Amino acid sequence: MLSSSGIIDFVSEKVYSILKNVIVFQEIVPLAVLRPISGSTAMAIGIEIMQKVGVDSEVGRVVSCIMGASETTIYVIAIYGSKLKNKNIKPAMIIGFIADFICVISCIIALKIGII
Amino acid sequence: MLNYIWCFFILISIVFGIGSGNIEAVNNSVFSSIENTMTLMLKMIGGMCFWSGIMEIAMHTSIQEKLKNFIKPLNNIIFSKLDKASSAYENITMNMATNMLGLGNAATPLGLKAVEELEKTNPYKDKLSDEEIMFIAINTASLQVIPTSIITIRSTLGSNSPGSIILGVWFSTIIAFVSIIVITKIYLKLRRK
Repeated sequence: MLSSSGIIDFVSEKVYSILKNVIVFQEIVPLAVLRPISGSTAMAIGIEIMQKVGVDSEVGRVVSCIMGASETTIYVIAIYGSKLKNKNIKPAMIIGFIADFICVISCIIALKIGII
Repeated sequence: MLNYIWCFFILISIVFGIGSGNIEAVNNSVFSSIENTMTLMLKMIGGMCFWSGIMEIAMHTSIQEKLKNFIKPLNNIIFSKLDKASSAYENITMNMATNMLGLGNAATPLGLKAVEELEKTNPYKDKLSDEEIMFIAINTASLQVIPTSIITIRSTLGSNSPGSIILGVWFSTIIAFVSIIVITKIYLKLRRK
């Protein structure tokens, strides 16, 4: 639903135009945006991308790498946050998002140095 | 919290769909994506069962002990202030070992126990303690030995070498893991001031 409504493309375009030099492949941006938010949506999007560009293409490999290496931040925070009521979980959340971003970047680096 | 996120997703799709004139596509995609998901699930069941089984067996062998021995010195650096004999420490180690095997479902209860025990020693009333932040941070960075689900997906989609991404996955999880520990340590230092 999300992807066909165009909002993902909209957000992704914005993100891509800011980070054009860091994220080399435009195709992976929707995945990178959704990965920390929802695991199943990210999986659906990842599969969609891989079907479109081919699993063994460069983009396909980066996509698989991101899906394998990162974790659904919001999910982790929601689970542990539910145990820690009335606590400020914002710092943990920000750290989690930074982790996901580093993950995406290092996956691209992994492709560039040729280990995937 | 997850419920809110889903509601938000659905609402925003509809609103944005109306706004951009794509509402028909939104409507159709509800049904086509259900179909896609079901087909994919059926295709994946075999692979997922296989890997879960393998990892379940690994849990009962000495691999887990070895993993724990490998994690312990690491944890001494990461959680330098935590009592080594406490059950929170034990649970954190177990949680990390299980996570490394890719058994997220088995790791979560262990993690919840660890957080509960960490909470007992939390000196702050409305903030997370240092250990809690660190624990959640490493959980979001997720160190994994074999990314089973993505290997299954790749073979389902007809990849020539589904496992070829494993080096890249190791590379980027390790980078993310190490940098997240450093960032969290820096954050905690700044917070104390």
